Amino acid sequence: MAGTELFGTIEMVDVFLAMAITIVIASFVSLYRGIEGPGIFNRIIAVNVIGTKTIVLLVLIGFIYERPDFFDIALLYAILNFIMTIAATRY
Amino acid sequence: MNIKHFITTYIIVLAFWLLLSAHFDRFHVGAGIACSGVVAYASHDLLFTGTGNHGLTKTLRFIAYLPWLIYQIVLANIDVAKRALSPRMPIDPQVVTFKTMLKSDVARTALANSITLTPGTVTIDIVDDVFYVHAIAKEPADDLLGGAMERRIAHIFMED
Amino acid sequence: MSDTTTITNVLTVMFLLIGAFFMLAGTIGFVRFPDFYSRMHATGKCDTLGEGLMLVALIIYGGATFVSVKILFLIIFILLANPTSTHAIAKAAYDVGLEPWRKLDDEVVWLNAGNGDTDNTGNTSEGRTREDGGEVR
Repeated sequence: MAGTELFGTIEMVDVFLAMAITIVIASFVSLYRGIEGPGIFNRIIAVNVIGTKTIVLLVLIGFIYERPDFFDIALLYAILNFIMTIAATRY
Repeated sequence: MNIKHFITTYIIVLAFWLLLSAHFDRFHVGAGIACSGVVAYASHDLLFTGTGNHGLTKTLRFIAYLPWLIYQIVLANIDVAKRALSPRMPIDPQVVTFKTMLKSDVARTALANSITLTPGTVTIDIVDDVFYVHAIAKEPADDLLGGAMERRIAHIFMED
Repeated sequence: MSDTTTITNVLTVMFLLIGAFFMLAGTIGFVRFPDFYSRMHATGKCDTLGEGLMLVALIIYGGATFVSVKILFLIIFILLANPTSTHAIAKAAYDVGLEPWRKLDDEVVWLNAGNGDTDNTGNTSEGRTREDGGEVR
């Protein structure tokens, strides 16, 4: 992964960092619906949405710090998130 | 226990292990071979339930269906983004029901997920043969009741 | 810095930005839409494509490595799992008896509407009044 420069002084890592911050902001906006949003089902969706955003966030973190371990964590997180949603809607 | 299914599952699981671990030293490959054996033994009868015959044709037709599906997903996203961002929020939600002609579970799952991903509609429930679909406005509901997507799915799974 | 790297990087940034746009639109829809089922539209579609596009961007950036294979599995999994969980939540809500919001039905209108959408002024243009503290579901 050589050549991480985009334009002039902006590097790709900066772009990834900006995207990660965007995801965090979006997660907080969703968290508003999770706290406020009337009823249990809105909260379940909010948790599901934040979990899906976290997957992308983990992959981005893996690229920013160049640590491939994070991709395995993201994969596991995806599976856990799905199972958790199914379990929460079943019972 | 069906030995053919076991071996196929074993090969798939082992390939999955090798792709995900990306370590090719003796320890990791050995652990992969052992674990794949256990997992394949436990789940060899889960992978091949009711696929029936013509598996290859169905797979090819499904792959041919994917570009159209992706195009529909993009349309759906533009649609939802437009509705979410416009100040007046032009939505008029309603629940519509229709009766499906699809028989197999795989075909119904494919139809349900396709409905969820295409513009303006979300599958809520399938009771017997009836799909309950939540549409966000009138036009997507009418499009859905036209039945174009159901015919595509039926064509893929050879049920037309 | 070679030309191919530049093209790859520009493509990556493009996909990331489009994905982020759809993701933000989905989040805004998730907060703004008046009832549960409409919110499902926003989350089930926009999040799937937005996050899928961002992961595609990272595949383009990473090139053909084992990392990309993992991300590809992630994309396939998200594409399968997200509509399924959307569907599961909607089915659970429907089974419990949550009524969908109807535009012209004043009885149900604010029964299921969010309590906190104070910025949602455009929706009350038809002279509808809001009853806070109604049935909360």
